Amino acid sequence: MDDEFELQYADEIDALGDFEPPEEIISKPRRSLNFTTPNQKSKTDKDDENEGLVPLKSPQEHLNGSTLDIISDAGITGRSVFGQRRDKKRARDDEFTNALEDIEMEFVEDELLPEIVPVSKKAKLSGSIAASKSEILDDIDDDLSSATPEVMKKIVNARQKRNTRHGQLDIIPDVLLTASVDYDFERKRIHRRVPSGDFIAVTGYEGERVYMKLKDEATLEKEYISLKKSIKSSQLLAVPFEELRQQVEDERQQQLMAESERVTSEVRRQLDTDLDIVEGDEREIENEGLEGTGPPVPADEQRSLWVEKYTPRRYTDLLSEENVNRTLLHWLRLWDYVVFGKEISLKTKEKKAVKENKKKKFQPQVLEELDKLNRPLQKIAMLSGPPGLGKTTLAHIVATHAGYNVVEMNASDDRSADVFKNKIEAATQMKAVMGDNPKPNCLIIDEIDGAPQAAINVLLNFVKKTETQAPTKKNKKDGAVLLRPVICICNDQYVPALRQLRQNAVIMNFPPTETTKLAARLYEVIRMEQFKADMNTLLALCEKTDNDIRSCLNTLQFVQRRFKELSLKTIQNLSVGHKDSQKSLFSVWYEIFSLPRVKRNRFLSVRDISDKDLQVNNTSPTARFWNIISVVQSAGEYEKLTQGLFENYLECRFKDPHMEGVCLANEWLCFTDVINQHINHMQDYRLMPYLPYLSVIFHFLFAASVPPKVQYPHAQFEAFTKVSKCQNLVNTMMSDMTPMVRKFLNQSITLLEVLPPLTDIIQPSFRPVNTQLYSAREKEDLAQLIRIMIAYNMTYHQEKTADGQYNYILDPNMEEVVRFPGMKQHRQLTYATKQMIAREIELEKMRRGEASRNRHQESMEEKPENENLKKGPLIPNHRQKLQAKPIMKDEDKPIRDFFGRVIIKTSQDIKDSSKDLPENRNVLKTDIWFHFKEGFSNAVRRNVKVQDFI
Amino acid sequence: MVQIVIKVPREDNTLSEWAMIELQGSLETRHPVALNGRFIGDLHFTKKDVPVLIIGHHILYGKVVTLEKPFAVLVKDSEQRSENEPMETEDENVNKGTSYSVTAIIKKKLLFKTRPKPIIANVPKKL
Repeated sequence: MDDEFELQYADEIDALGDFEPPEEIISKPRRSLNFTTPNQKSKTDKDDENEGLVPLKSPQEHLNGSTLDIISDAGITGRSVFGQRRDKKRARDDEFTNALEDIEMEFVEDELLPEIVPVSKKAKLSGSIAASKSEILDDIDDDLSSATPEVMKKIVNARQKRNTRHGQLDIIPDVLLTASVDYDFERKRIHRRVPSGDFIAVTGYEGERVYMKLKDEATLEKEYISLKKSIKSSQLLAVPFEELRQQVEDERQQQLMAESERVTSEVRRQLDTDLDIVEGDEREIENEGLEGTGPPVPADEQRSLWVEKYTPRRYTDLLSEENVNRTLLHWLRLWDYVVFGKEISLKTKEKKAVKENKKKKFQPQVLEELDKLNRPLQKIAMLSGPPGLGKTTLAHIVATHAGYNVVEMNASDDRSADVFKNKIEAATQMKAVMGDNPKPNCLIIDEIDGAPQAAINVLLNFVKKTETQAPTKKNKKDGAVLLRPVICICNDQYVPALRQLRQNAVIMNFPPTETTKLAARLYEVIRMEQFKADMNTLLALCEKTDNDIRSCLNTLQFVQRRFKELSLKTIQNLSVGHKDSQKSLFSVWYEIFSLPRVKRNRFLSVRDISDKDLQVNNTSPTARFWNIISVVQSAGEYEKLTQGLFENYLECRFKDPHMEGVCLANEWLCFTDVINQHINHMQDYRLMPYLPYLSVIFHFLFAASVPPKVQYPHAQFEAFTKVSKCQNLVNTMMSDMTPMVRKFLNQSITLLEVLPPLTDIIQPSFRPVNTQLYSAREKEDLAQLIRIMIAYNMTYHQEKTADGQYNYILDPNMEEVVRFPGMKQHRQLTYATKQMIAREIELEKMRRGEASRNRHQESMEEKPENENLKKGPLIPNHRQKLQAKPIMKDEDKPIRDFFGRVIIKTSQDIKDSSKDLPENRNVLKTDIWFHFKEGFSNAVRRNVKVQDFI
Repeated sequence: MVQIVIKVPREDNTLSEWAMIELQGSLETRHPVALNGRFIGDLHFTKKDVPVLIIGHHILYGKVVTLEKPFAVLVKDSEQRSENEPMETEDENVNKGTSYSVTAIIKKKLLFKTRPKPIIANVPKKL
């Protein structure tokens, strides 16, 4: 068999080989091109439009020759099988005959019989086959739609034909395939000379004699196996790719078969019935198809959020309140002169003047004036309001409307000041140069309340810098000046970080969107999405989400995905997600201390009222319970919350004649305190969830319809500062106590047991006379007092009181620690006495200090003796062996001259030296010293009398 | 005219040669005591014959200078004059028999004219 194929190909190659050097084997793609081209043509002739085939087929053909082709036989369809069979048969018939004719015949056949494709077996790949098959099916379907009896018949014929082919498909032996696989394209097949080994002589195309080598089947087999092995070893998948592919092909095959059977049966059924009925059926089929795929919604629209999809695109679409929109737009217009160089029309100004009168009070006014750079005085617009009101949308739309290119930055993302600065500068100083219509930038800083103080300061400096600098033309070119509008968006404009910024900004508060307006918009959306809901439901939804557009839309989309219809019931059961918003502590306290107002069930229609589930009862205990829990949990800050409750609950107007509620509340407070302590002590946060229930209890006990004026809790802080102050005082006192006293005390003992009586003890009565006049007993008392006060490190210390009088106060001030405020004032020592005591203390301290210093000196003097005594053991080990060199005394040493020779003293010298005082000897060896006189003189004269000579 | 008798010893050998020390400066004492007969300091010569004078805590380096005119050291001898040398009497009226005898000749002097260097008390032991 192999030989047959070899022969067959050899002929083809031979035919083509005329154009090329005979040694070269023609590469596969070329040949496949030759054959596939007519093949494709034929197909396109037959099938109307199936370009998909071509790309499908060609890569697979390129794959030929690799082991990848060792694919199941299952994928071979009728058409290709037909060709195969033909090949096989022909090969059998024309065994070892001149293949030339055969080739020619093939070409002819290609043209004549489009169905019989002389594709080489390598090209018969399952993919293409399957595809071609599906084409046929498609054809049939197409035909059906435009059904005419002739077509039907044709189809049936085709079907039958194919079925027969399928039947034959199974019979195809594997050998064929394997043979096709191990076809080696690189091997020389045709030799002009007689090759070594077995060969067959053939007459070539032009009548010359060529030889073909015969190959041993065994070696072929070996080659095949080795090739397969080598490929297998390099595969990446656990399951060989071929198998996977085979599985896929199998599945597809089965699917196709099943479908084709279905179609055939249908066609048969149709043929049985009348033409009219057939037509009707077709329509039905069409309808079925439509329903199966669902409403024709483009894929990307399905994916996108409604929030984005239905974002307002134009100024007129905006849902937010009109005058906010106007204000922002007006402010932006003020920039026109700087940004666009347009003159601001007077008309708007006049209009504004009129409008200002009408304007609501809470809306800020845009200052009309421009600064010296012709910029508006307020360089920043700040939009603030709860989430979901369309602040960001408004900013974007207005900026675009005014002709700006919007640059948005999210302050929450870019937290560091550096990044912030870079972004601001990039956005305000630069301009897109690319693009056909570059617009100036408008910077929108979203969620600026999330930015750190440093970043906001950067922005602030940037805004302010321009004001301080001399506004010259030069400055404009510097680029350091803010020349573009900046819009900031925040949820809470009272964040401390924004305080400075607020002063430089136009602040626009967003009032909540009107429910009806919102509901109307939602209704529009719903209509566009072909989703069913009535207005009441939408109103209820709005109410539930606190008019949060985003939340509404998200909920709607969510519901739409799951249900066909939005009912009131679904809305009520939904837990609608809010964008994270925290309530302030005050509002939480307010909520806790006030009874909820009854909400009307205004969105219920008459028939719904009977349905109990739908009724919203926010005054029921359960509802109150859950409401408080959720409010408190979202607020966090349990500790502060508890403090606030504790300090304010007694102000509430509750009815509790037996004080049972207060008792209960106190118990709960204790409980919370215990839990809190445990949590903080053990870091055991499992108990955290129990904390919010205190608020619930307080709510049920003390909530009133008229809530009290809640005050911010400060008792805790005050107590804390007081405690730390007292502790500091006691510590100061204890740190300098006499050790004898100190060693018996600790902080609590001092505070509780010693200090209270001590403050009385140190205030004995003294006569207001000079201390000199004191009796011995009084003197003794005074001395005692002084000793005590020194021992406890106390003294009096002069201080100026608020009203300008001087007073002596204990230092450290133990009165403050021990005496409770508002208690009866104890008898105080007189100013003079205190002064005297303070002086005495100072004196005593000095005396003691002196004494201790003396003692210290004495001890120092004594010390050397002691040290000498103790010296022995104190010497470290390594020095015990080393003897200190005895210090040579000058007396012992014989006097030596400069060169070390011993100078023998003359008796006179000795006498002299003995005469000298010892201290002198120490200082100088001789009494005589040399006094050098600088300068020069030859005239050393001395008066000598002749008398002396005679 | 005053006449002073100077006696020259007969034997040349006995006449010793002295050297003179010239200091630029003065010697001072702590106490106002005459300096004669007192120990002043040590005079040494280095191997190169440089004279070194140590006075108190000063060390002076000098040089040996040959005098242009030698000096003779005369000792006034008042006792002997009357007996031995009547010739030498200058003023017999006042002081009969005053004579001088040459005890030494000075041909060289040791000149210390540089600024003295101090000796630090502890160091000399090692020096």
